[in-house]
Amino acid sequence: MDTLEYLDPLNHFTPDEYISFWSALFHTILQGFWARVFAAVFLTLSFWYGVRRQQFFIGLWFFVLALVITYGAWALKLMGLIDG
Amino acid sequence: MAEERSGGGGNVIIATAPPIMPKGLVAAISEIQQFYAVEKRGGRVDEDYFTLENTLTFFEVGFKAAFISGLVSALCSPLAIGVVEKVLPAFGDNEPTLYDKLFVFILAMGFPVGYAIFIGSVGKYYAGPFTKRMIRNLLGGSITGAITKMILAVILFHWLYVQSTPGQASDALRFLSG
Repeated sequence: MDTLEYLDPLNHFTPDEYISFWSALFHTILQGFWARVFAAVFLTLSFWYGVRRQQFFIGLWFFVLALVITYGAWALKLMGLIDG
Repeated sequence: MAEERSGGGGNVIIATAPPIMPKGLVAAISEIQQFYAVEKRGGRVDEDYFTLENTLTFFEVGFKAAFISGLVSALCSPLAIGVVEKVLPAFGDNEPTLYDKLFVFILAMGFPVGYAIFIGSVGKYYAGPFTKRMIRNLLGGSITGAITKMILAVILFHWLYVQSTPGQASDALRFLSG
C-alpha cells in the first residue's frame, strides 16, 4: 500500500461513513448551539486582536471565521452539501 | 540620514528625505509611530520632508483601506437584514432568535466599527508637525474612501431596486432561502 492509498479515507471507511462524518461535523460547527458559541468567541477574538492588540491581520482572520460560521450552513445548503 | 567622514577629521552630515512609502494601513501607522517616537524625544523633522509623493501615498493607503472596509459592511448589512426578515438562515436556523438578530447586526457593524477604532488609535500620535501632516493625509484618504463607498453602495442598491421586477425578486428570495 503506497502513501497515497494509505491516506485515502475511503480505504478506511465506507463512503456512507465518510459522508456522515463530514455531515455531522458541519452540522456541529455550523448549526445550533455550538455554532453560536464559536461565532461569538471568534468575533470577540477578532475585536481583541484587531483593536486591543493592534494585530490587524489576526483580527481579520477571526472576523472571517465568525462570518463563515454564521452564514456557512446557508452557503453549504445552497451548494447542496448539507441538508436542512 | 547618511553620515560621512571628511578628510579633515570633521563629520559631514548629509540629510536625505526619509523613505516613507507604506504599502498598507499597518505600514502607514508604523511609519507614524516611528516619527512620533522621534518627535516625542525632541527631534525635529521638517514638514517639507513629507513630499508630494508621500502625501499621495498616505492618501491612497487611507482611501483603499476605507473603501475595502466599506465593501465588507455593504456586503454584510443586506445579509443581516435578510436574517431579520427570515429570508436567510443564520446558524442554519430559519427562525432567528433574538440572539441571532443581534449577532448578525453586530457582525455587520463590527468590521467598520473595529476599523474606525483601529484608525482612531493613531490619534495619540498626533503630536509634532510631521506626524500631524502624515495623519491628516491618511485620514483625508480614509474619509474620501468612505464617502466614495457610500455613494457607490447607494447607486448599486438603488439600481438593484429599480431594475428588479417583483417576479425576479421573489425568484431570488426563493433561491437564497434554499
